[in-house]
Amino acid sequence: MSFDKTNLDFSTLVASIAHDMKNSLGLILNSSDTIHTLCDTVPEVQPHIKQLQFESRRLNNDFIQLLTLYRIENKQYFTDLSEHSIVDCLEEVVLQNIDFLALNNINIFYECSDELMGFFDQNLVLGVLNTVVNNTYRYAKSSVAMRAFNDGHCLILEVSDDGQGYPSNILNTATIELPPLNSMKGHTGLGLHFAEIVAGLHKNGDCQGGVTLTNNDTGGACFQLRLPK
Amino acid sequence: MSLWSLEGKSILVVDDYAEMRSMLRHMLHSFGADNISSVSTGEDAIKKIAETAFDIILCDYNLGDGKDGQEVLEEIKFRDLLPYSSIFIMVTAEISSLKVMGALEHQPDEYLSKPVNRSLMQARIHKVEEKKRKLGALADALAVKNYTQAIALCQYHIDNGAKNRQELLKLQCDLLIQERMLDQATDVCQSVLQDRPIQWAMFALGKVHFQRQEYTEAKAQFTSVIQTNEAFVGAYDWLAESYRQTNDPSTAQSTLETALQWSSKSVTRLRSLAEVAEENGDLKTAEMAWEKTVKTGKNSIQSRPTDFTQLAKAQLSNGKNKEALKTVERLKFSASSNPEGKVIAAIALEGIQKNLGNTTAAEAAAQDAFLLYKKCENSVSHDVALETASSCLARGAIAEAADIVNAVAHNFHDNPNVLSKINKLYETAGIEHNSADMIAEIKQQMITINKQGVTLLEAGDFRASAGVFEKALDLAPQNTFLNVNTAHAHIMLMRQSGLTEESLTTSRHCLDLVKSDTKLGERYRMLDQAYWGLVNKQSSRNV
Repeated sequence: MSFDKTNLDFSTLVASIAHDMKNSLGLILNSSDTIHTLCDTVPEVQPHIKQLQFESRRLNNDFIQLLTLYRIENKQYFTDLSEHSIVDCLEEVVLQNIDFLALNNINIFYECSDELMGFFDQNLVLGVLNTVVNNTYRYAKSSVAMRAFNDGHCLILEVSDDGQGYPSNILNTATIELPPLNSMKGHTGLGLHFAEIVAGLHKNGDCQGGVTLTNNDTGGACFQLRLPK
Repeated sequence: MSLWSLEGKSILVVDDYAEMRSMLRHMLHSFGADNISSVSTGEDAIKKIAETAFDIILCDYNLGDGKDGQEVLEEIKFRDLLPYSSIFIMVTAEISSLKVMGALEHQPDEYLSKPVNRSLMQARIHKVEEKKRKLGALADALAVKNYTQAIALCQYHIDNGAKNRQELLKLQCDLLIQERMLDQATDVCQSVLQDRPIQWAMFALGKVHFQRQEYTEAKAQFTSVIQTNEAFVGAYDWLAESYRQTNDPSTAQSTLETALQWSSKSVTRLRSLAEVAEENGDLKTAEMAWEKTVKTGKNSIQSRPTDFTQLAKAQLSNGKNKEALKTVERLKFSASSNPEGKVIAAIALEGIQKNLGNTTAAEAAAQDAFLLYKKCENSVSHDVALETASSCLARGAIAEAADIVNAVAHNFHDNPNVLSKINKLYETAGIEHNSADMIAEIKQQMITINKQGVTLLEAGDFRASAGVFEKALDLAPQNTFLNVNTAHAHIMLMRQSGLTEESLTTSRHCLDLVKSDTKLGERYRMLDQAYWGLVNKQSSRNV
C-alpha cells in the first residue's frame, strides 16, 4: 500500500485546524448558551440566539462530515466496526439535541428495546443521526421520534418528524451521487451524501447498508438508515 | 439523573486553552463539583496525578508543544498512577483518527467530542461511573492485582448479561494472556471469533501463538488482522517481532516501515526499526530511525539515554563525526535530571573522542564518567557500572575498576549473565583477573546471611530477620535476593504487629526492585498480593 507523504503532512495540518476550529465552535456555542441564560427575559434576543445555535451546530456537522468524507476518499478512515447498545446510541443523539430542539418547542424521544445491539462504526452512525436530528429543527412542528428495530434482514435506525415531509423529488431516490444543487433549495445534499457513504461502508455477507427517505402517514419526513445485522 | 452530583469527587481538567478550562470548570460546577483542579500542560497533569489520585480526569488530546493527551495517559498507566476506579475522559476534536493512530494499547474510558455538549458530558461521566460501580468487585480485584479473581469476575458478569460484553471478554482475554493461561485465552478468542472476524480477538490469538513460539500461526493471525484493518498498528509490531524471531530481519524491517506510515509517533516502534535495520546492515535507515527515536522520545516516558548513544554510534559509522558529538551534547541536556544518563553521556563521549583520535579529550571524558558514576553508584544499572569499570581499566585505573566490579558482583551474585559479563570485561581489556575467588567469597557471604535471616524468620522473629537482610542490603542495594527476603520479613512483621510507615515503604521499595527478576516471579507475585492485601484491609477499615 503506497502512502503519499504530502497526504500525511496535509492530514496533520487538517488535524490541527480541526482542533482549532472545534475549540472556536465550542466557545461560540457556550457563549450563546450564556447569552440565552442572561437574556431569557428579552424576547427580541431569542430568534438571534436560536439562529446562532442552529448555524453553529450545522457548521460543526458539515465540518465533521466533510472531514470524514475527505478521509474516506483518501483511504485515511478506518471503519471501527464493533458491538454497541442501540439504546445508548439513541440516548446520546437525544442528549446532543434535546436542549437545542427545546428552543423551538420541539420534543424529542426514542423507542427501542433495551437489549437491541448493533454492529457498526459508532462514530459514523452517530454523525449521520446527529445531522438528521439537527436538521429537524427547521422542519418539525413539535416532535421528533427516533426508533430502532430489526426488520428480519437489517437493523433499522429511524428518525421521523411531524413536519411537511420531504419534497417529492428526493423521496426514495437516495443515491451515492449528489442530486443537483438547485433541487435542494438551500441544501447542498451533503448530509444525504454522507449518510449514503456511511451506509455503504457497512456490509455483512450479502447484506449492504442503505438509506431510505419516505414521508410517513401524517405527512412528516421519515429518514431510515439500514445497517446489516 | 436529577439526584446525580459530582459533589465530593476530585476532578482534574487538562487543557491548554484558558477559555476551555474555565468553560469545563463551569460545566462541572453545574453538576455539583466542588473539587476541581486545572492544569495547562501534559507534564503538569502527570505531576499532579502523581501527587493525588483523582476520581475524574478530563484531558484534551491537543496540549500544545509538550506531551499530548495520549502520552499523558500512556505515562500514567505505565507508572501505575491510574487506578481502575478513576475515570479518564479524552476530549478531542477528532475521535476517529485518535482511536486508530497511536497506541491501541491504552484507551481512555471515554471520548468526548468537541464542541463539548453539557448534556453529553453529564451522560458520559454518569455512564462510566455506573459501569465501574456495577463492576465494583472486579475493580477491587484489579486494584489488588488479584488477577485470578478478576478473571473469574469477568466471567460472572459476562454470564449475567452485562451490556459491555465485548469489553469484558477483551479484558478477560488480556488478563489470561498476562497470567500465561494460554489455553483459556485461546478458548475465549475462538468463541468470540465464531460469529465474526473480530480484530481484537484475532490479535490476542496471535499473541498467544507468539508466547507459545508458534511463529507461523502467529504471523497468520497478525496478517489477518492487518487485512481486516490496514491501520491496526499493533499487529504490524507483533508481526515484525515474529519475523525477527524466525531470523528474517529483512521482512521485519519492511513490516515496521509500513506500520510507521500509519503511526509514526511510537518510540518503541522506531527503536525496533533502528535495531532491525542494524541487524540488516542498513546503516542509513538505522541512523534515521535512531534520530526519529530520539526526537519522538522527547516527551515520552519510553525514551532511553541509550537511544542517543546508539544514534551517536550510527552517526560515527556513517562518518558524521560532528553530528555524533552534538548528539552527546543533546543527551547531556536531556539527562539534566537523570544522573545515570549523564554517566552514559560521558562514556559515549569518551568512545567518540577515542574513535576520532582525540586522546586528551577521551581521558577527560573518562574521568568525568567515573566522577558522575560515584554520584549515583547505588542506583545505576549494572551495564552502566560495568561500562564505567571498562573505561577505568582502559586508562589504567585498576583499583577503581575493581571497586566497581566488586559492587556489581555483590548486587548480582546469583546472576550468571552478569557474572559472565564481569569476566568478559577483563578479557576484553586483556587484564588478568581472578573473579572466581571474589565471586565465591561473595556467594559464601550470601549463604551465611540467608541462613541467619531465614532462621530468624522461621523462629518468628521478623524484626531481627529484616534487620539481617537490610544490613546486607547496605553492601548490595540492588541484590534481588536480599530485596525479596527483606520484603518478605517486613510483610510477615506487619501481619503480626500491624502496619507501620517504615515497613510499608521498605517492602514496597524492595518489591519494586524485584519486579523485573523473572526468576523470582512467583515469590514476587505472592508478596505483592500480600502487600496489597494488607493495604486494602487497612483502607477498608478506615472507611
